[in-house]
Amino acid sequence: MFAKSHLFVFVWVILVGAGVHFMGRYSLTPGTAANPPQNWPEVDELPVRLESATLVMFAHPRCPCTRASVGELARIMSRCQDLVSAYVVFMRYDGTSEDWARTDLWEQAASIPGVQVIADEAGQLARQFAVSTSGDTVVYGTNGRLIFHGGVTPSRGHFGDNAGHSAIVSLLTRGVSKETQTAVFGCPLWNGLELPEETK
Amino acid sequence: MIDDLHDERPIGRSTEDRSKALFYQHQQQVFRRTDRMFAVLMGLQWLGAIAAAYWISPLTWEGTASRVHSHVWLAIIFGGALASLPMFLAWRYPGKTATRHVIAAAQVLFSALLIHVMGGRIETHFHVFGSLAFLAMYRDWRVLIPATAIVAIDHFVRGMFWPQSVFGVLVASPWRPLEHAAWVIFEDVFLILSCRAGTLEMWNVAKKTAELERTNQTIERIIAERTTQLEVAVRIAEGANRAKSEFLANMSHEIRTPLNGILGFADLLAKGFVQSETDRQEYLHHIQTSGRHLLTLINDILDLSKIEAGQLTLERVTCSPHEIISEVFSVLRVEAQTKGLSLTCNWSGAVPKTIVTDPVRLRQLLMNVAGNAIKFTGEGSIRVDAKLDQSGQEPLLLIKVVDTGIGIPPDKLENIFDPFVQSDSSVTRRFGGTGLGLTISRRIVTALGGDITVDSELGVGTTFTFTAATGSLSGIEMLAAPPTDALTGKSVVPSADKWTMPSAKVLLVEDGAINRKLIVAVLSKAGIDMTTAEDGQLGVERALQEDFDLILMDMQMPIMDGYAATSRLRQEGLTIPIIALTAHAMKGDEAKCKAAGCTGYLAKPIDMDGLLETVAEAVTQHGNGRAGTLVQECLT
Repeated sequence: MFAKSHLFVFVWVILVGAGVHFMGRYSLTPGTAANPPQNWPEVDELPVRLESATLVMFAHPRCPCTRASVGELARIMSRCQDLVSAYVVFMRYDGTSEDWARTDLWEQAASIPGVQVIADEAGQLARQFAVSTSGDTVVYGTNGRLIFHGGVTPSRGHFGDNAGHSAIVSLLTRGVSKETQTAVFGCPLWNGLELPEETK
Repeated sequence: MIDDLHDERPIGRSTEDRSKALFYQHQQQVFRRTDRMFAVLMGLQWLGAIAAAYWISPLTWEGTASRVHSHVWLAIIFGGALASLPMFLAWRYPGKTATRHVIAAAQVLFSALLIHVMGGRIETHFHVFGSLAFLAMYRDWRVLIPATAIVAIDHFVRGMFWPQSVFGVLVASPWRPLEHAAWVIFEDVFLILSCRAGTLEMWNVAKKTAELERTNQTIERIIAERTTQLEVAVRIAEGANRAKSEFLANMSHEIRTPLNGILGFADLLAKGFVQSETDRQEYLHHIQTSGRHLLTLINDILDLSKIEAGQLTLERVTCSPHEIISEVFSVLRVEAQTKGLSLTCNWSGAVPKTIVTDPVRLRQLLMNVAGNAIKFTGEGSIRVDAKLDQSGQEPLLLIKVVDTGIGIPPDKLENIFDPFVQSDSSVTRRFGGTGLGLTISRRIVTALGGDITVDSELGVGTTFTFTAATGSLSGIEMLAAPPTDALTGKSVVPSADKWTMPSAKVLLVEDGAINRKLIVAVLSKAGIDMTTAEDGQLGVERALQEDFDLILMDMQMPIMDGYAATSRLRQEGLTIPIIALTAHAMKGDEAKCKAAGCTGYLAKPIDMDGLLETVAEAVTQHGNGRAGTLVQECLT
């Protein structure tokens, strides 16, 4: 009985350990990092205000992990609304209806003060900014130079303080940050077949 | 924790052991109950994790392609694994230490799972603190150790390798994990105090319960004892009741027997069925014998009743043992000589000149035993051996009465001291007696601080041995041998004195017509001028109207009893002698009569010689005697 119960415990510990490992690995594995242009590309969909920095977050409209990224953006905007022009760009894939993209995540983003929500038809903007992971965020300074790119969550789909959030707030408020690039956690914006050349 | 309990009043070892047993029993109940509760909670948390994962992140996307989100699979598989062992252990091994600790570990891991599938929002972290509080329901602070350790290790490891996942920064201070652990420990402190308070309370409850059980056991034992005592008392009471009934039946028999003789022969005389003067004398003799037997019986019964009622009061005075024996011999010698029996007394060893005992009762005792010996011995001898027995702690006077009589059958020896028991019924017919003598003797012996035994052989003889405490013999002169008359008995010389009855006027107050007539007949015959009254009221009136030399007062009468009448007469200043005549023959009755104002006391049935003597004496002493009459002549 003693050996049997210990065997149960041992097997259980292995299973639990495996579960913890999987859970950690899944949440801490970042998506593909973006390779955005160093200078603001001229895009008609995103009007730039020269007096402030520009923040663009790319999002998959149905990615559950991006809910945390949008939540973190709301926190950033609560402190830096007047210092940045913020956009959340939701992917609009070919063959999908407008309603497909109009999710509660869209509504959540649209409700953040100072944030404009834009549909990215066929992912053209994402291609221009060479991003491939939902939640990836780029920040350009008033001079049009890229000052930050990466994720604003500590891990996949998790809320809470993180390096990206702190870096953006620091750059916008004080103009400096130790971190200018962070890992991004979220669903891929493209599947293998759709993946644009810029991100490969 | 146990030591804390010793602050209170000390309890017995067995109670303390019982307290421990009750505590552990209660603790096991708490452990098992909490195990079951967590088993249910594990299942609910598992389902909750699946529901949360499915609701928050049902699918994961890759462009337009989707599949079931990893969180859903994680909730199903990992959650199931987490819940399985605790549920199994709670089912199969409830109350075990390992079960509690596995549950504790699983519970905080469930916190991790739920926090994870719910997006790590700050609110979800309260699950950790709630889980710790829930674990405190075990009232075993040790279960907080694995739970706290898992939280601390998780934060420490992630703080080291993935600081952003837990602290939100890419490089964290090494103190941050400690700070996070400290907050958990902060809660643990209160939970440990709570567990300790809960455990202490359980100890107190166990102790109180043990004490209550002990009290209940004591009460139950007392009730059982009392019930047993009650049953014994009931049996004794029932036995006493039976004995009383038997006693009354025996009494009835014993009284009816002589009464039959009295009434029967009186009837014969009354109807004139007498053939000759010889027959008449014989019938009268039978009536007298039966009457005397009845009187003896009543005296014995009264004596026994008095003893049984605990009213046997002994008078311990200094007296001479050989004189007591001598007196008894004096009385019995005549009867022994009449039967042709030899009656001797032997003293062995030194004879104390005096002992401290009740001489009246000792005399009665020896009279009973030696009288029995004479009664049941047809021929041969009765020997009384006396000696001082100093073998015990207290010196005893040991008297052995040895006869060569008919003996007692062995099967009767055991009951020989019971009331109304003689060796067989024919004995009563042959030898007479009330059957109470030995019963009274045994009671007297006990009261005198001794014991009585009997040894007998049928047809050979019987030996009764009894002892009586002598009191301290320190300083008492010890005689080498008793005086000669103590061995032979003093000579009883019938008094040859004849006295004269003075001429006197006597008032008899008596409600009983027969007694009135009898007494008037006797005293008139003696030359007394008799006047009678039927009750106390009339008696008082006549006593105050005429001059009397003496009043004979019955004490129990209608209208006004003798006590009231006597008191009234004394209040009126009457000084003549008043002699009480009463059937109240118990101890204290005489004193009661004298307290009412009587100068003398005669118990019924009244001995006629005693009556004449008392009347003559009272009248003479009062100084009213007139011309005397020779009493002996009067009665002849």
